[in-house]
Amino acid sequence: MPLAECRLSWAWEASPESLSIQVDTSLYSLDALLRTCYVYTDRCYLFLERSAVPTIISVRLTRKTQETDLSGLAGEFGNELINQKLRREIAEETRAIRELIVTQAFTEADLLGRAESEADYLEDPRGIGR
Amino acid sequence: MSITIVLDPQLYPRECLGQASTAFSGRCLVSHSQNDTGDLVIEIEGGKHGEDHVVHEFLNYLLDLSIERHLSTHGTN
Repeated sequence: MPLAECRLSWAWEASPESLSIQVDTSLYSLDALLRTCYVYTDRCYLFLERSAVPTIISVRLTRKTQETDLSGLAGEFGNELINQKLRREIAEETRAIRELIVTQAFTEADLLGRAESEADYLEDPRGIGR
Repeated sequence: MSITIVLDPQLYPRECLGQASTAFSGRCLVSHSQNDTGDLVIEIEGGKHGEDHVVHEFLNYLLDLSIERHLSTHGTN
């Protein structure tokens, strides 16, 4: 589908072979943007440049083959941006527990207090029932 | 005939540019300098298999290297 028919307000046709998307890095981090670009380097050619507004990065997507649907690609790119942003947020939210689990796996010390938390309820080592 | 491209060094680190230039030395000649604003200016010459194609492939390879460098510096979660 030609991009003009697609009416994606945040993407525009730079040439018949390529389109440009402006990404605000105050909404999507640079990290999320780069990870998204990494996903697409096998499907299209990408070029990044900073715009006049320092937080905005312009992404140029150029088709590798004539079969590539540019408007579809633009839509998927936007979705992947959200996906990567969310993945980063979840990674940040769960960082502490992941680090604790890994630390526990490599140490003999019982950092999670398993002796107490996994004990039989009849033993009641924490005295919850008292 | 050569093609000149301006790159933001925060997006495309200089070290990656050197690495990509070496990797593509058999396909094209890449020279680079720095302009007044600190941006990297590269000039790509040659390209036996079509200049545009080589430039696109070079930029994609450079972007891959830049992203890998970014991820290794800023964590891989």
